[in-house]
Amino acid sequence: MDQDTTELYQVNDDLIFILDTGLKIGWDNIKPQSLNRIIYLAKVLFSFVNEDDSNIMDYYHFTAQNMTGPMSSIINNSIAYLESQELILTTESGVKLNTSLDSRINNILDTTSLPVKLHKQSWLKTVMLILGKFGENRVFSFTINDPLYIENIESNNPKEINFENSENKTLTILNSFKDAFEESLEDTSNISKQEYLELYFDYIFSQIIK
Amino acid sequence: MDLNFKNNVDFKNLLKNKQFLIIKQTTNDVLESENYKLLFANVKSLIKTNAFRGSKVILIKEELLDSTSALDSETINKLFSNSSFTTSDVVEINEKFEILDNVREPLPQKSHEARLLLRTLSQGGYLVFHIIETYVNAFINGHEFPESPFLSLADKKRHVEKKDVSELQTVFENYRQRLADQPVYCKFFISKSHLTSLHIDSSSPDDIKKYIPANSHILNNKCEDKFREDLRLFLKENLFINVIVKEYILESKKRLDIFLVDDYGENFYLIEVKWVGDSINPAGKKVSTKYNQNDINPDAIFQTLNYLEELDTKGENIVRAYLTVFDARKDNVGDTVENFDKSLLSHSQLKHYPKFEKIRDFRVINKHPS
Repeated sequence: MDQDTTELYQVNDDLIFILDTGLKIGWDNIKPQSLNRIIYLAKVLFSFVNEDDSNIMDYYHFTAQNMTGPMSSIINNSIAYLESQELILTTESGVKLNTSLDSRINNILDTTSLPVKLHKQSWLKTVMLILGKFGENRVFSFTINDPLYIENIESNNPKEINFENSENKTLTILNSFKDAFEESLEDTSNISKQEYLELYFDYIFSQIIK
Repeated sequence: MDLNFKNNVDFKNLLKNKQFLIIKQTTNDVLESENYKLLFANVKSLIKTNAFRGSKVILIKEELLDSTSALDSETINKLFSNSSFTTSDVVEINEKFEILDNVREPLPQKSHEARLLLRTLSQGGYLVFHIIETYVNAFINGHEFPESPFLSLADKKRHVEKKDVSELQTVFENYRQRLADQPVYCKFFISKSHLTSLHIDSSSPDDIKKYIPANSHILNNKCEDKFREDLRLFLKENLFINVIVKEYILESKKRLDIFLVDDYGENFYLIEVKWVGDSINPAGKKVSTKYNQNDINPDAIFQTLNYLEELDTKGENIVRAYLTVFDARKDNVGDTVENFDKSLLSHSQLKHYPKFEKIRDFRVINKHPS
């Protein structure tokens, strides 16, 4: 199997997992643009929580060429593929899992003996549960206020967004956010990286609705 | 949005003030559990999909939390349409979102009374979700995890409501009224002391008492930035909408003034900001820039339509492009676009014209120079 096909299959797995998790948080249909944005956030935030691991979502290549947020063409290719396989259905409100194909979907979701896939699903679920607190309609706001995206859109840079840790402005901001907690509060030993991420989203949300 | 956290004293003070809340949030086992997050997200989602308005309390026994891992969306979706739910103020549900009990008794009108009630309920072994419009305030074991600063509809309604983008015209009208306030309009014009020094610099034969009212319409240098930022800030404060990054540059290197986008990032609104009148030069010694009606009609209209065309080519979904003009001309001579000759438009401009709208001029008058 060539690399492109392998990557497409990985994206297919991710989208099925995201749509399945969506069902569990009341997002029965998810807009294709939201899928791009969810995966972008999962990629840009990954290294903050999973410091020592290489980015598990490195097969997504995002550009910030238009104002609807970052896009990765492989996601749209995957949506078309999954639709052709009838695993997902297109509705007015977005795309949804074809739950009548339960056994095929469960096969795709299965992570038995696949630790990397399990790790990725666990990370995507973390991101989805954070976003679920605010609703799908807030995903866009979070994305366009992401520091790395803003940096790219402001520079009108048509190139692929660079997620290397040294270039990832979001990572720098998140670390300074965490540092500010450590410098201000008496004891932060109980606050995990994931909780910092949740606090960061709470803060951004409070700024958006202000 | 200020995301500078490094050496940010204000942010650190905010954290110190909220220390108790942060500790509560990061040490609460229920709040941190996956099942709670699933439950909360579902309540939040139901509010959105059912366009819920008003206030309601949902109770669920904390002991049922372990059973909520396999929520069935079909059953959940029935909750908000159940007549017992719609007609009650407080409902108790089970892990399948089925109604176990319901009470029809209006919630307290004052936030502090509502807080007392909700805390007490949460101390009785219930997870309490207090829905107020689109917000969900959670109460767990007597602790409060609010999303909204208000706990009663009455208190919330007293607060200034932001408007939906469909009410953009109303917001423009409100802005027009605001421009009549002296603290607002005076920042666009040169000050009274500046007018006095200009009187000397220009060696005007007019008496100063006549000179000041005759020249009070002179705008500050770079007034376009002030007009644009004032309008942008007003829209940001009064609309439930995302106001896009400060300046968006097109590939043609043209700068768009104000860009708005709805929640899902699907529909975009462009606002082009222009002005007519006289503005002072950078040294503040004489009037150096004058714009009049011809700069707007047809030039600014062409310019806005060309932006629409360029964005359309790029695949952006612009639903409306507004041309706004700040009219600071000395005399009130009517709107800058009373009539527009559509035959002047090129074929491609004509295609985008239906999305174009000229807003009635924002007249700015320096009634009382300060």
